[in-house]
Amino acid sequence: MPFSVLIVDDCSMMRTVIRRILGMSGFDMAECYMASDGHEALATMRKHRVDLVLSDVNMPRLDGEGLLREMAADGQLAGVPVVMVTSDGTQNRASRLMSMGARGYITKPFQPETLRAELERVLEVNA
Amino acid sequence: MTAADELLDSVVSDVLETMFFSGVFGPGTQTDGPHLAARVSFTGSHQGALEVAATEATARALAGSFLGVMEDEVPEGQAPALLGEMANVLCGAVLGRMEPQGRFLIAPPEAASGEDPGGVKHVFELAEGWLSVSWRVE
Repeated sequence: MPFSVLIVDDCSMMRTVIRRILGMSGFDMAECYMASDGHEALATMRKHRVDLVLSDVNMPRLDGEGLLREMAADGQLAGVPVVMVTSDGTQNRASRLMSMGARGYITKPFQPETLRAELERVLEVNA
Repeated sequence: MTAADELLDSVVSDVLETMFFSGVFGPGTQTDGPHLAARVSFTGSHQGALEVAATEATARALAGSFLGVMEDEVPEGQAPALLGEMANVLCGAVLGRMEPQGRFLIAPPEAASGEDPGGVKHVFELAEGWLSVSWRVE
């Protein structure tokens, strides 16, 4: 079953390359939406069905932690899994985000197969 | 070669190959002349900065590889953004390997003057040209 994915990152180049890597990985993707911060991400999810969010952490206006809080408080969005994609490779940051409701955590740089495996784990896709 | 040198070399190779679809041939030589530079600063368990520099031609070629487009299709202004994003990814990767239990706040990338920020500096030879990476931690 193909999944609709939302990529959230304030860097347009990074959004493009994540979509590119996602395509290279062979992940079964239907739609791929883009947002440049948490506010845009929330607006997109209220307009379109999204199965999974891939989100940066450090963003202007509403960052990744703010996005997790807003989604948790919204009954319609609370169940949408979020995988954080960040350059911060420290375990403290990963633990903090997971405790706030993130379902997965990927550190840049990452291989296409790593990304696919993490998304399929979160979506409980059986290989 | 010190541990800091080895860490920087290892991270640069991994990041370039994995996310920028490029590769390091070996040590390079920085040429005189105009170039672009981007820096990210960090605070927390340690403070410091990481800076990358390259000629505009090299940055455009790397941006093309990164985006999966021909070099002449790279949108205007994306070469400096490429170096900023590269500095951000390199900095996070270096900190994560140097101190996995650390707590850091990495500031957004900013354009830099290209002057030597001190600390460890390596110049790499890529297919696209030279790339300089400077790393300072306190």
